[in-house]
Amino acid sequence: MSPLASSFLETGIHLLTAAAAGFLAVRALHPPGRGRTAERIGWGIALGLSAIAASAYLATATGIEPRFWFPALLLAGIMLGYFFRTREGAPVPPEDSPARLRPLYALLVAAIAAGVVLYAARALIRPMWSIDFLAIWGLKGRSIFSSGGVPAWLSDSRLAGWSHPEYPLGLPLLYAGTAALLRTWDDHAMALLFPAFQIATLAVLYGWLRRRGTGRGIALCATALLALFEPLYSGFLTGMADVPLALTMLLLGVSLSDALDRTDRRAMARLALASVLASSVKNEGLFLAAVAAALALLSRTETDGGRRRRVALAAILPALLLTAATRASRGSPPLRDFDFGLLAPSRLGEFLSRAAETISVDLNIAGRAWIILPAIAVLLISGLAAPWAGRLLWLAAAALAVYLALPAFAVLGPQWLAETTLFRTSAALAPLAAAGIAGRLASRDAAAER
Amino acid sequence: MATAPGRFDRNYFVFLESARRTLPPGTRGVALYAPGANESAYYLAAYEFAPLPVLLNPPAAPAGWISAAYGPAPRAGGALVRQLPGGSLFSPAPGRTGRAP
Repeated sequence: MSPLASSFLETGIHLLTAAAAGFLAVRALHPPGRGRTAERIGWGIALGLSAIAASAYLATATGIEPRFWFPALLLAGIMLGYFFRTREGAPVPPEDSPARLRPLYALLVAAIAAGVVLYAARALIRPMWSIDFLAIWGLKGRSIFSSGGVPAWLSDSRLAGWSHPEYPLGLPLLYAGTAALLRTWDDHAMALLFPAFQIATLAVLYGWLRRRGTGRGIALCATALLALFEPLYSGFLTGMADVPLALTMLLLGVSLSDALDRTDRRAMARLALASVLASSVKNEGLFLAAVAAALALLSRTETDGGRRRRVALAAILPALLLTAATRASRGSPPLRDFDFGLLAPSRLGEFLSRAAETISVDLNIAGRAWIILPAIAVLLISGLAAPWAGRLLWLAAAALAVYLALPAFAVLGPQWLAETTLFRTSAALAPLAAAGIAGRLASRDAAAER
Repeated sequence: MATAPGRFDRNYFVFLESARRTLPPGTRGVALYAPGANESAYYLAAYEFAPLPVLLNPPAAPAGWISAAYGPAPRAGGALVRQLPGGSLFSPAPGRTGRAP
């Protein structure tokens, strides 16, 4: 076997082991049973990958190798899943597979499989190569792996300001942990992480939609469209934080909705976990957690004010604690790409000029998505309001609004920031949008049946 | 990495990889001299030399660092440490060491 094939095989075995242990650990978060397997697989992958990252973090904190912590964490997760397993939860709607629709369902499943295979091909055809992987995520992961800690110079904005010391370290720790398991830094084999992120996202999307009563056809359509969504699942984004962020934002959204609708007692725990995961990947995760908390406080479906506050706390507190702990250990580097001093009254004219330029640049970039945007509008209009799905759309809308506005504050100008980030950061909102739109369409179907 | 279309010239990648494999033990950082190198080339060097910090074309290499010259050696280079494909490794010239930023 060639060294490359051997490295891929070993990476695959580690990821499968982590996912399998995560699947068992998820029993503490999701009740078992028919109809819940897909969602449990998605959460299981997320938990397994988190264990790899956590093993690297514990290694930096204790000096004991990740190869010790990894099996220890998996074992702890399996035991937690066993001793705290839950059997309580709303029943999953029965299967709806009329014979005439089965060929269509088979076609959609084939489309999902094609999306996974195509992304795997794009992700694995060569080592991770995008500039942000080299300058930010890979650099930090490789530094942590090679030095057994987080080198101090990575927090020094004069030496490494361009690598964004203010970003969370979740993804670099995942790289460092995976490399430690492989005993070498292999930026080709580690690309396998990204198809794993995609599979987890698709599984959670499909499983959650089905559990919340969406028909099989709509759930499969949404999953197939997401699987084939190349702007997110591209070779370029492989290695960067957008693909894992897309997964964690979806986990946050579905957990928030479950917690507000009291689908089961562990929904709140899932929300707290998703809050940690989202804020460990990118700074947007903290922002999304804050938006989730605001949505909980403003919820009109939950009449118990105390419950609304508890959900809000579960959404924001874990993210805040993680961010505070990171800042305490690594300092608070400035956001060097942004100049929020533009909000000062004395610079109002400059700010207005930049705001106008930002709107123009945003519209220009939106024009390139001229096929996608009208399609999204039609789908949104076709559905009916459904709070359980609408919350995910509000999360996506809040993030999109920030992505559209931030170029106005870019030090290098609105054109630069919008051109380099807007398309890919917006693409990471696709899972939230897919879940929200599918939920609205499902509500229309349910209303028609009634 | 060098085969990624349109990214980096292969010789540069070979130079970096050779330099990484032959850095003297105890090196605290790398001063990279690559005239005309753009940001992408700098980021690739930083990635290759991780966990060591890298400065691009600094006026002087900080103490304990090594100079890696892609192409011709800088005039003020110190003692040759190793000849590499496409360049060379130098110890900083006496009296030309600076402070780490």
